[in-house]
Amino acid sequence: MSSATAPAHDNTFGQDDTYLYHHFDDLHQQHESSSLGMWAFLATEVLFFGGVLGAFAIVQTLHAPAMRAASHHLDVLLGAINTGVLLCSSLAMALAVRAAQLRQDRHTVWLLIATIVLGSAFLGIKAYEWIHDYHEELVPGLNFNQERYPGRQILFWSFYFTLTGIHALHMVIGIVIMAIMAVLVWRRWFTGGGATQIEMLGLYWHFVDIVWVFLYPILYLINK
Amino acid sequence: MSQHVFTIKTNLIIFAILMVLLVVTVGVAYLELGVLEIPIALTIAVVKAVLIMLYFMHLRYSSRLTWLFAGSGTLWLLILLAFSLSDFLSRGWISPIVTQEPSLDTASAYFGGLPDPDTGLVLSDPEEAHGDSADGETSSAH
Repeated sequence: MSSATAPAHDNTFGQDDTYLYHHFDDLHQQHESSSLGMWAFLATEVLFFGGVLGAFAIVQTLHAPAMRAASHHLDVLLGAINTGVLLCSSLAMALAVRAAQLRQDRHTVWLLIATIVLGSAFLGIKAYEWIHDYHEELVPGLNFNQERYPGRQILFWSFYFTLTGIHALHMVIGIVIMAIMAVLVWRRWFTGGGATQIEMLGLYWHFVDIVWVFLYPILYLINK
Repeated sequence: MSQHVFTIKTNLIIFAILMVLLVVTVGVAYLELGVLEIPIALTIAVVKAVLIMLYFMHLRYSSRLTWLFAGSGTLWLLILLAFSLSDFLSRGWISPIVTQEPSLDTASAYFGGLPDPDTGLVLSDPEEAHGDSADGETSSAH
C-alpha cells in the first residue's frame, strides 16, 4: 500500500488520485467513498426510471393489443443502430477511464471527445425518429391523432416519449459534463489527472447505456 | 490500494459480446415466439447490463460494499415491479374468465362492463372475430 501522503508527482500505476483530502484515512478510502456516492446516486436513478417502467409493465399487461398496435410504428432498425452507437460510446468511455487511470491525458481527452461524438449521434438519430413521429401525428399533447390511432394506443406513445425523453435528457447532461471534463483534463486542472472524476463520470455514462439496453427491447421489440 | 485496470483486449471482448447480444435480441424478436418473447428479451437485456456493470463499470474488482450499493437499487426495483405485477398479472386467475368461459361478455359481467376502446383495433384477437362470424352462420342456418 502506498503512503497516505503521496507527493503530487507520484504517478504510480493505477493509483486513483495523488491528493489526499484531510478527512480521509488514505487514498483507497477516498476513492471508495467517491465510488459509493456515485453508486448510491445511480440507485436513486434506477428507481427514477423504474417507476415509469413499472407503470409501463402494468399497462402492457392490461392492454397488450393496444401496445402491440402502437409499437408497430417504431423503426426496429433505427433502434438497433442507436443501441449499437450507444454501446460504441460506452466502449469509448471505458477506454477513456482506462486512459485516465494510466495518466494518459491526451488519450483521455480524445476518447472523451469520441464518446461525446457518439452520444451526439445517438441523440441525432433519436431526434430524427421523434420528428418522424411528429409527422405521423403520434405525439400526445402536440398532435396525436385519435382517429388515426384509435383505442388506448395513445398510452404507449405517452410512455414512449416520457421514457426516451428522460433518457435523452440524461444523455445531454452526460455530454455536457464530458465536455467540461475533457477541457479540464486537457488543461491539467486536476492534481492527479482526474482519474477518479473521469471514472465516476464513466459510471454515470454506463448507467445511461444500461437504461437504453432495457428501453430498446421494451419499447421496440417485445410488441413486434 | 491500486485499482484494477482492465486491458484494452478485455474491453474489446466485452464490447464484441454486447454487439452479438444486440444482434441476437433483434433476431429473436423476429422469430414470433409468443409468450416467450418478453422473458427472452429481458433476459438478454439483463445479461448485457450485468456485463456492462462487471467490466465497464469495474464492479468485478470493486469492494463488496460497492456491490451492496449497486445491488440495492436493483433489489428495490424488483420489489416495486414484483409487488405491482403480482396484482395485475394474477387478475383473472380465479375469476369466471377461467372457471367458466373466456369471453368478453363474461369478463365485462365480472369486472363491470366498461366500453373497451381497443375492440376496434386491427390487431385485436382474430379468433374472436372468426368466432362471431361462425355464430352468424349457425344462426342464419337455424
